[in-house]
Amino acid sequence: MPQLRLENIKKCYKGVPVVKELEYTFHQGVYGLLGANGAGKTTLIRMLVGVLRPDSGRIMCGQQEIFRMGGEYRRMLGYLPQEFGYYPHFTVLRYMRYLAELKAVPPELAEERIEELLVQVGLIQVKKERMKNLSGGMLRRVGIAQALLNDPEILVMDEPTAGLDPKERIRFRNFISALGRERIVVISSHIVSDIEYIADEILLIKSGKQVGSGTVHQLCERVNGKVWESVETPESAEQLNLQFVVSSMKNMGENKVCVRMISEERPTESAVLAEPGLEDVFLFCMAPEEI
Amino acid sequence: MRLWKMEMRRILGRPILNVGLCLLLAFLVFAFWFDASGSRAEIDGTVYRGIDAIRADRKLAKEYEGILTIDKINQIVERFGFSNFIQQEEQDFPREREGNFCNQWVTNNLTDFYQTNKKGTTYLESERWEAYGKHYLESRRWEEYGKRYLEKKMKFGYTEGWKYFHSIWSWSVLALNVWLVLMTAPVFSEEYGRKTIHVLLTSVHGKWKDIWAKIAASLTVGIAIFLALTLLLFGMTIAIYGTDGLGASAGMFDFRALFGSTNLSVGHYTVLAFGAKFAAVCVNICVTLLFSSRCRSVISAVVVRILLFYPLAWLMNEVLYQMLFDLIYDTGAIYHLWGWLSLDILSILCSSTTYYLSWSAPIGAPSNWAVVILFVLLIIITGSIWQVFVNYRKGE
Repeated sequence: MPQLRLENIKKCYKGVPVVKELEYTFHQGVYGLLGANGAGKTTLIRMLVGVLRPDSGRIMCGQQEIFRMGGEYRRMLGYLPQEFGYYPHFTVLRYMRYLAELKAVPPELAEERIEELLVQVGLIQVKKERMKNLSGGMLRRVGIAQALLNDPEILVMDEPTAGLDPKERIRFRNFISALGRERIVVISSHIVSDIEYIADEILLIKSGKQVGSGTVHQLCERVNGKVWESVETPESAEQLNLQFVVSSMKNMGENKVCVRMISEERPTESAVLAEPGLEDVFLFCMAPEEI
Repeated sequence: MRLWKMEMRRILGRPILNVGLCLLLAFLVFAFWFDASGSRAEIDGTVYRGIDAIRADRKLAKEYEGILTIDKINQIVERFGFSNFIQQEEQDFPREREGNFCNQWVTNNLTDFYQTNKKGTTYLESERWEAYGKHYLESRRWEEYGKRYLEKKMKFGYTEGWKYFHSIWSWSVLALNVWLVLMTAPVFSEEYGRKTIHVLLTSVHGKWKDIWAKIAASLTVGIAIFLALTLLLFGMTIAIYGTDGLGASAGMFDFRALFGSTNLSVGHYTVLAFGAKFAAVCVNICVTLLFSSRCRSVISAVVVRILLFYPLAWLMNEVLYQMLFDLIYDTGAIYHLWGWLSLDILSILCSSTTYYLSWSAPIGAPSNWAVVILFVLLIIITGSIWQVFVNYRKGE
């Protein structure tokens, strides 16, 4: 199983740095890239899959630079882009056959593999349907299936759960967890709960820079003792929202609001410490620019 | 091979455009039929129509076949006279001609018929030139034209079918090239527009084999349809007009074939025209693919390519050439090598465009330009393919 190593990679668009001096190593398992919109996740993903070249630094797969490996690297790769494109007049089966050919899946294995994947993603019933007739969730599942066609050792998915309904998302999470046992899976998302459930390790990115990494537990340690909950009136809740990083405001009825916030010190007299979650970590790390 | 087949199926999977191609082919068959059925020949007092007229003309032309001499011309005129339009009173425009293939040819090419639209009374003489000098391109004078037919030892023969064949062939290749722009412009630009490019570029064959497959499939489609179209027209010509005239001089219907030291036979001319039109299809596809790899939407790829297809070629030949000619003439550069060279370079570039290649323009060019034109075409084709790879592999 190869390692995927980012060595001090940088990328600028029109002089504006989008990814800054990123260093990280991916081993076997599921990795979550978490960051706000525009944090540089998609740019990083595109560099990981070899679509974009970093301005400086290297991406190593084992001992080799991925751009030198060319087709050999792409043979190990499965990729689901954020905006998954398709050909509307293609049937699901034709689309899968086309990509199987592009991914050099031997023709004698391709049919069986396509059937197997369509069963796994629950699309076997619509395999002869034209893609333009599929729902957004179904298209996303076709995208997931195509990414797995060549049984990749490195699977990269950009916002894979976008457009999936809650049931499909749960099914997808379980599916990815199983996949991560035998390959490197990198998933990018801004939906914290998806990453929290799927990822073995999380990489937090802010403005193109890595601001944290580790397991959910390790990351939560960073905000341990900083997450507070307090029941307030709506007016004071609004006041707290302006002063602190508030992760939730829940109406309790009887003109009371339960405010969950992140603060180094006890924010109000009535505030009590709460168990931190990944969402709190996310907000804590992204805070200075978000507030 | 499988990828090439898949890409070809994608290119051909556009029903509306395929209907367009079928309509074009149907129109060509109709045009041929219409032309043949409207033929009229008047020989020794008997009037023949349609296919009978063609048969009679073929038979008559055989009597005068071979090197054209003034004696043969005189014999034709003495026997049939010159030919004029048959003007019916109720007709706005005359549609039919008196006479037959032989005396019509003599009237068209050796008298001032085209300048006056009236029946010729005598062969063109040099004095006539003065009267029509301002219509340089349209006018004909004995020294420029009539004399050359004789001095070049032009071979007379029945070339009416080949005249139609080449005319319709050029128009249909022109139409085919527009159709090919519509068919191949989406090959790469569609991948950007539909956002499929990133999936393709991250596949094993996406950055090399698939690009070749797309290029090869586009060329295969273009060349196959061009060959089918050519065979269809060629077959119809032979079926209707026979193979008569293949050995005659192409100068019978295209004066360019008599330029310089050349006196091309119709067969030779047809082979050269095939080469030029084949090159037109290849250049067109490669340049269209170049724009397809450059433009982010199919529509912009089509628009840019169509704009370059005709207007640029026209501007180069009709405007820029004239401007350059005037400039060079006015500055006296016309007496220097570089002056002529710059005009020649522009002419060669014009001859290498899809539009003028479709009209078999290189046939009219000096024979020593052939290698240069071939070289330019090779540069355009290889350069375009190279740039397709560069553009498409960038992806962003």
